[in-house]
Amino acid sequence: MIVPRGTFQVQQSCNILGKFMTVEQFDIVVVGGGHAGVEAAWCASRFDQLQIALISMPEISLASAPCNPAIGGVGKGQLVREIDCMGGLMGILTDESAIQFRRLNETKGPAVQSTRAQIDKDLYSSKALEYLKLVSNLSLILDTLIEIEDEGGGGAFYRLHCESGRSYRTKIIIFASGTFLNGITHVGDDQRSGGRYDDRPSGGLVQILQNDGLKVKRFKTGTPARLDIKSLDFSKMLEQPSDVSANNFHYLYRNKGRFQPQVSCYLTRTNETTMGIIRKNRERSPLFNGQIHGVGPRYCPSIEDKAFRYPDRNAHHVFVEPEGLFTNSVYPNGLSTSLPRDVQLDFYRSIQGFENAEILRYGYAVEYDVVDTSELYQTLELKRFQNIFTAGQVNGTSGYEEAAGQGLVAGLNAALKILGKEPLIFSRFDSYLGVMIEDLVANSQDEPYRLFTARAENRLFVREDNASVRMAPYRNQMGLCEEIDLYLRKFLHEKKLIMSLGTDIVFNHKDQSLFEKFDLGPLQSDIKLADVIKRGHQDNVKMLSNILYELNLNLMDEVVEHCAVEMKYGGYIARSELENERIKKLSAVRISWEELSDNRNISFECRLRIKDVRPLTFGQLRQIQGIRPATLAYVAGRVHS
Amino acid sequence: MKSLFDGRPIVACSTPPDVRSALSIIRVSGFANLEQLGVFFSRSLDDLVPRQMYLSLFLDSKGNPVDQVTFIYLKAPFSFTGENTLEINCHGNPVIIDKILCELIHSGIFRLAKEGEFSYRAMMNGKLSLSQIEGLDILLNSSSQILSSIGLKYLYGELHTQYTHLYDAFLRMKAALELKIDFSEDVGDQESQDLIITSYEEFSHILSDLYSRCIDSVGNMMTPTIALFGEPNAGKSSLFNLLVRHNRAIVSQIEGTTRDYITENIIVDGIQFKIIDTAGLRTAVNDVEAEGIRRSYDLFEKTFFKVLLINPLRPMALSLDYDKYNLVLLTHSDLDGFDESCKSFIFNYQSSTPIWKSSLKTGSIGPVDLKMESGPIEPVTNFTGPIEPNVKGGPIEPDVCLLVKGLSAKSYHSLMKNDPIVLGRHQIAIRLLIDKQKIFRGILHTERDVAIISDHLTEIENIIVELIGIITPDQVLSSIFNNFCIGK
Repeated sequence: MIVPRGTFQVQQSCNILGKFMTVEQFDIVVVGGGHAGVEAAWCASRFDQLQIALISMPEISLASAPCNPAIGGVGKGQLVREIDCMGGLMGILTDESAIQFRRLNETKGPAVQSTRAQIDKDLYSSKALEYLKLVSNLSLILDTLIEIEDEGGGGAFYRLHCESGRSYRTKIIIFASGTFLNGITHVGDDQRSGGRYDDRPSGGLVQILQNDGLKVKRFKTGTPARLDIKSLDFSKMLEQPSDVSANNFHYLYRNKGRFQPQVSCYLTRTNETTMGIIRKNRERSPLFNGQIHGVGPRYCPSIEDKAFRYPDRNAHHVFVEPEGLFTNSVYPNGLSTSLPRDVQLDFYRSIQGFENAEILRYGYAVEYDVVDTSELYQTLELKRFQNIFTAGQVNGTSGYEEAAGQGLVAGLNAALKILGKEPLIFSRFDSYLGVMIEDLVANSQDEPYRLFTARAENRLFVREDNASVRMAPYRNQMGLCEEIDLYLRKFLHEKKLIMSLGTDIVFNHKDQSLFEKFDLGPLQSDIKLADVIKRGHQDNVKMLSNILYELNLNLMDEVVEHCAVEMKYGGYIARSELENERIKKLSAVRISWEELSDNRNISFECRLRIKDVRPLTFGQLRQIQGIRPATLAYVAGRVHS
Repeated sequence: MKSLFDGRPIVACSTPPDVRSALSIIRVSGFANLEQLGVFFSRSLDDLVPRQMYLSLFLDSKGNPVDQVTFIYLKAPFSFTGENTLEINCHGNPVIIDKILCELIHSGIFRLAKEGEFSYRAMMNGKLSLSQIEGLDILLNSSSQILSSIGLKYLYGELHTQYTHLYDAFLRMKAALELKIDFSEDVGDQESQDLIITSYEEFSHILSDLYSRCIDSVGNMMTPTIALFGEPNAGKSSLFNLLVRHNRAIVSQIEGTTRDYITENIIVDGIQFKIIDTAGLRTAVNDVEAEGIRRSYDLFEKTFFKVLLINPLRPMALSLDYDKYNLVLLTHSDLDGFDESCKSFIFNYQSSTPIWKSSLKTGSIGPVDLKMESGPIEPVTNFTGPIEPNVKGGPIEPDVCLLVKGLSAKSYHSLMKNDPIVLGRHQIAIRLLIDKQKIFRGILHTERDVAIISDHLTEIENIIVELIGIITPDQVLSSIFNNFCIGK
């Protein structure tokens, strides 16, 4: 069918997978159906006046989890909550497919507490498909992209040519192609092209972009072998059951309980024999014999790395995690390897509980191309290519949560761009999304990027419990009215009520019996409710909810929890806000990287970094690795005067 | 200061330009390439090897020789400023120096450097750290040989090394805390807690070392002050005149109003002191005098060595705290009745400050025997005789001058013994760090919320940043990855 150029056909709901497509024009096409791609497509399709397509390789299920079967964790849990409160999909999918929950750092204070869930991988993928199918303005295309054509040359329209022979026209492309760019997998000396073992690589992006001088880097990551659950002896391992106390991620699921039966994980350790086998086979390890050139993450080392970097240490934790309720596959976390198959079997079987282990699939390392993120704007659009966005592992990050977060940022910004609205720029002072995006675009990363709470300057404020409050202004900016928006309004309303009670309610000697009843501590002189909660000699969430119950106030649990934490941290947050205000003001000052990179008062290396990264504001300049304090002092001095 | 930022090539004479000497050095820095300088030399600059000396004629704009010079080319970034530099050694005649500078400046390519601009550029180009620059400042401006050597230590990074150690210890402490938050599954809670404690101890050890090097407020150590205090007619001006009369190092004489104080510079034992005759300590009679007295009290706080002069023959109008002075001098020992008055004075003298008697007319001195009336304090005997006068061949200095100078030099030396931190900015930061560290110690033992502990650590970090520069999360994470086996 012929569609006249420049006009868009109004399309019907079109979810005929891999079959005849009636539409060839879209506003946004997302390439890649991983965590970034799924979130990008979902978020962009929130704007129902736009037509979105998601192109995903036919042989791979949507939002699949090729590495560890877990979502969340320290820092990452906060990010999942942010995605959820922005109307993203990850929280819902995780809750509905989770088979174990853990509350990390439970005793270390609310700011650093995080949730992590083990997921049933297959369930997660099928839930993703279910949700996307419900979206009327989103088309799923199961195909492989082979070529991009810039129609007319200005980046106003792109034509995407796929393997099936079909092609699609779009205003904006979001690339979320994961590890599939020029991917090579390694198992011992067995090398194959492909983004995952037994999967094909994808080319498209690199060819077109590299031709135009886009900087591309090569990273490496790896995964352990998968073991057959029936061949393991769990009696020799330490059981780690699911946490009852951990909350679900999705805001509406808080009191819904668990969707799936909960299972345990197990803990075992490597030993002298294990590490001995690995050390004996150094020459056969692609990581150590020169076969692999890509840079791997230091926070996620292979077992070979551990063996050679810590020669005195033989006991390393191994977390044994089931990959689903109905699969025999088990993920031995901590044992990622690319050693030859015979060595893998040998060292796995030397571990307590693994004596008779059968390997379902061998561990492997993968090398892949990533976009140098200093080539990106904060919207994740490429500086050199109008209307092409990149998100996820292709940007050199690791982790499903980081990928989904970027998908959300790219998806929403692509949509806002088409609609002619202000871009959505997350601030590092109120979100891990902001921390991640700013870290990425301010720097070209030297290793796969992962979020840590250490990266957030404002850690006391960017918490799981207040994700709603932090995301509300951003949701507001999007100008949508969905269920989440109504929820956020209600949340803020109840928060305002409780916080004002915190200063309005003053207890005096008449309240002695109340204080005794709820064990609120001594009552010597008149004291405000907020100050009672701040004392924190016991669980302050419980204290607050008891008092509110006594006042016959029936408010949402999560708001009560949030307010108790807010009262506890109040002074600290107020103080850091002052400091943040100061930094924010300075950070927002615009600078000219062209002028600075020609400025002979700045050292040669610093000028090179500046030319590389092209910072637009002082804040971005400050984030560049290797920028000397003298340079910052010099520039700060100039922007002040 | 703004014109410092223009980045144009600069030129200056690095040796004193107005004194005849055998050789002078003219430095040119920041030119883009040697071609810009080609016209000034008879020798071709095409084949220059950096760091080699060449002989050439220096030519004026018409191509006439100005002087025979040698020059060395230092290629960026391997020069003091980090920029392309040419060092020209010409003959040390002020006329020649002036001519060469004029030729270079009139070419329009170079401009005369501002004061300190070479160092400024060195800092901007990362060749010197801030504390090294401060060291350079001490080196160029210090008034004593001792401070010069401290300047050299700053310049060669002695203090910088100390700060680096402090920084490293802090980084380990911060990394241990982050380890406890982000990686508690990889490294056990107990292990990371132990690490926090040991790294904290290491940090506070280095910090208290630095703190012990912060001298208490002793005024400006760059030019230490000796000030003479006392009631009117105690003999301050007589002693002042004695002290400066025999010193040829007088550079300037600044006189204020009759009620203000008078300043002179003297050099004792390699230290340049500023000596000050203050207005008399008494209740003011009129406004002008009141102002003079107020200034004396201000000065008191900033003075390094304080001499209190007392005429025991006159009744004391004010009660003074002798402990605040470094030397008490009972004057007019040549007058009748001195010994009697002296006895009654020292009867009430309860201070450990050295006390001497002197005749300012003759310049003679003598120890005051505090035992005469079985007073509680031993006579002062820590002055072991005349100190070699700084100026040789002049008239012999009166003993009272040697006493004052000797004691001030001695206390200066004892203060400087431990390589003190003399810069106010550093002292303030270190004292603040000590305060914060005390709070942090309490938090560390009582607080269970790691985020709050970390928040207090951030306060410490903000001060360390003042001393050493910005700490990035990547440095913290690198410290973790390099020292611990992380990774599930």
